Amino acid sequence: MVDIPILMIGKNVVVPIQTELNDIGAKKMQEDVLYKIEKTTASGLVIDVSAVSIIDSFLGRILVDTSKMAKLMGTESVIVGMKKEVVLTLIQLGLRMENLNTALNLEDGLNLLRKLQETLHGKISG
Amino acid sequence: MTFIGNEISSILSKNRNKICDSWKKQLIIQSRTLVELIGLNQVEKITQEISDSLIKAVKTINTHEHEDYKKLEKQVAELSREMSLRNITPTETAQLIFFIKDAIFPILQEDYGQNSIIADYILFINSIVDKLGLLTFQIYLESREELIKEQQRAFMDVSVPVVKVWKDIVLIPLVGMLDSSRTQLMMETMLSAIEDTQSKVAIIDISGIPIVDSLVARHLITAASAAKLMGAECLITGIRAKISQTLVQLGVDLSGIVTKTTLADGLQLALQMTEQKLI
Repeated sequence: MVDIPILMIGKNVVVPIQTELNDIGAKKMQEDVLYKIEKTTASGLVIDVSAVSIIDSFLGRILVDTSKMAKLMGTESVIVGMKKEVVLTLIQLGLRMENLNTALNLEDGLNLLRKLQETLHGKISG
Repeated sequence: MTFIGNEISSILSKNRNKICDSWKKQLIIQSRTLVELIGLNQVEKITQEISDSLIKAVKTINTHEHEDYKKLEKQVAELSREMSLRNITPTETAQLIFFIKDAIFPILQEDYGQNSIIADYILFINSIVDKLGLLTFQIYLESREELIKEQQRAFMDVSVPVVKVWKDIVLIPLVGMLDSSRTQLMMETMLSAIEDTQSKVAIIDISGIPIVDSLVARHLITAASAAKLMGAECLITGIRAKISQTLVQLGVDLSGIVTKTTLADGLQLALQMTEQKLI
């Protein structure tokens, strides 16, 4: 099984998923990502799924859950680069994935994270 | 040639029950699916009613009063309408009517026993010609349906335009009724446009949709969440007073989606969202 690369850009964890993930792989990815956040105390998480052409209900839930878990650890997360076919399948499966931050591409995702973190800071300092 | 309607009518009315019976039997044997579809009771009712009307109509068909024949026509028209509503093909309906001949001819033949060979010949040719007639009918219908399908396809092709109105902003103006298949197409074209142009905002303008019911609303919500999943924001514009009234009365919750009355407002908001200014 291929390990999913987990990178750091500034204070953000970036996870570019480059292969199709099966259930076990998805679980492992979730674990690895959360450990990485714990170790680095990253302030943001970007999961790039632009190379994934199949997201089933399991992987969909993993993504939503990971984002919730990261949030509990104080890390905002964004899923970026969802493909058109993936979106159509998810919609047909009835998975709306509300409360999930999404962006078109990595760059937008990082921008969105910055904005989210700014508003968070604003709340704390204001 | 003298008018033979009276004579035939009297023969038929003598054998009325026999005709109904053998017509029904013919139908059961030759178009079982039809009988199963509409039920034996209904078949019985149809055969009896039409036989009675036919017997009456035969008597008067050559005179100036065509009322009985008109009544028969009306009955058959009504029957055809009903059949078409039940998705029964016109060929099957026509066959249903034609089978009465198979019930009537033997009885007439019995009465004119001495000419039975000619009657046989006529019957034989008759059945072939009937089939040919039905065939032309069916082919005509098929070609018409083909035409309609083609037009539908052509319509589908032009039905969802996607316009890139500004940097990072795409517009989908919708006109006409929005059904499931069109929603699907709209979602696909919208998502491709977002993917291709990497636009951050998609505006769906529904000013051209005459009626927005709960189904259309659901379709719109689906489209909006699809855009959201891709990472683009979705605005819905063109919500007139009437539409907002119906939506609230239907209990549709659009609170998760940004909506505006006019496209101009929507565009302005989209420019703000993408941090752009009109100069």
